[in-house]
Amino acid sequence: MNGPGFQQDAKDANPYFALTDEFNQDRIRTILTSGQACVYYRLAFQSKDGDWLMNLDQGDMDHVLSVLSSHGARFRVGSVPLSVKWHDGGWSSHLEFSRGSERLRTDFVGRPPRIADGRLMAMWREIHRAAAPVTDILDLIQIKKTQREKDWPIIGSLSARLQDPKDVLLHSTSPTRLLAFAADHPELLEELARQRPLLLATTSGSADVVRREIMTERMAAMDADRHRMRIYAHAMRDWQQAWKAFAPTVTAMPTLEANQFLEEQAHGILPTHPQ
Amino acid sequence: MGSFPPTRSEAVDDEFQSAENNDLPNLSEEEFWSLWKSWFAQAQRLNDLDQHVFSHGTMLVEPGFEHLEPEVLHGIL
Repeated sequence: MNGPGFQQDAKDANPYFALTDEFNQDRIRTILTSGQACVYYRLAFQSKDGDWLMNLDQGDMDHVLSVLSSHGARFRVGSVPLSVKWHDGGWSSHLEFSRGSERLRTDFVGRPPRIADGRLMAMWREIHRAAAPVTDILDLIQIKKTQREKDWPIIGSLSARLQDPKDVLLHSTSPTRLLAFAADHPELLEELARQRPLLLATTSGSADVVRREIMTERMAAMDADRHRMRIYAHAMRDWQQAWKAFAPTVTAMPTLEANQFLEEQAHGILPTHPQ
Repeated sequence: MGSFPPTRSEAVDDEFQSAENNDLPNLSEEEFWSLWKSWFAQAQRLNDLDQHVFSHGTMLVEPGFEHLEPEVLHGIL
C-alpha cells in the first residue's frame, strides 16, 4: 500500500488495523478513529468494534464495500447505505462479518460530529504525512465529546497527551493542569477564553472552581450531542420501519448488491441532510 | 463488555488516566498486543448479548428489537 500504514505485528494482533490497510490499498480512503484509535494511542481497550472516517468519494466507498464483500460482510439491520448522498449529511453505515469465532463490526462516517468542514478537508490532506491512518488526538477529542459517560475519561487521557500550551488550555479537562498552564501563559488567556470561557475561572486560582466549570462544560457538550442525535433519530423513523420489511432480503445479499438496494430504498424515506 | 482499563466517569482530573494507571504506554509491543488479544477474546465471548445492539450512533438497537432499549439505556447490555 502507499502512504501511512500499520506495523505487521499490530495488524496480526488487531484485525481492525489489518482491515484499515486493506481499505487503504493504493491510497488513503479511510482513517481509523474512536475506540481502535484509542488502542493505537495505547489509552484503553474500550471497543471491540472498528470505526473509520470515510472519504466522501463513492469510488472509495465502493472499494471499501468490495473489501468487506471479500470477507462476507453484511449490512447490519437499520444501517444507512454507504453512499456519499447520505454520508455527506452526517449519517453512518454499519456492517459486520465473522472471522473464525470473532465477530468484526465495521462502522463508517463521512462527516464526523463536531469536525468543521475546513478541518475535515485539512485532516484528509494531513493524513498523508501521519505515521499511521489514525485520527489525530485533537480531532479525536472532538469526536469523543458524546453523550456517553464512558467517552469522557478518554478525553481526559487524550488531553493529557497534549503539550502545546494553546492545545492544553483549549482542551485539557484537568483543573490542576489548566491552572498551571494559565499561570505560565497569561498572555494566551484573553484570546483563548473567547473560544473556551471556562478559562476565565482559572483567574480564581481555585481547582474546585475550575472543576465545576469543567463539569458544566461537559454537561453542555453532552446535551448538544443528545440534541444532534435526536434530530437523526427522528429523521430515520420511517427508514427503521422500512428495514423491518426488507431485513431478511438485505441481510442475505452480497455487500455491493445490498448497498445498491439500500440506496434505492432510501430515496424518499431517509432525508439525506436532517435538520 | 466494560472498558479496560476500568474508567471512572465521575473523575475529571489527571487521576483518571486509566492507561497510565495500567502502564499501557510503557508495555513492550509484545506485552501490549498480548494484553489486547486477551481482552478482545474476552469481549467476543459476550457477542450473543449485544447481537442486536449498536454501540453508538443514532440507533440503540436494530429495528425490531426495541424491547431491548431499556436494558441498553440502563447499561445492562
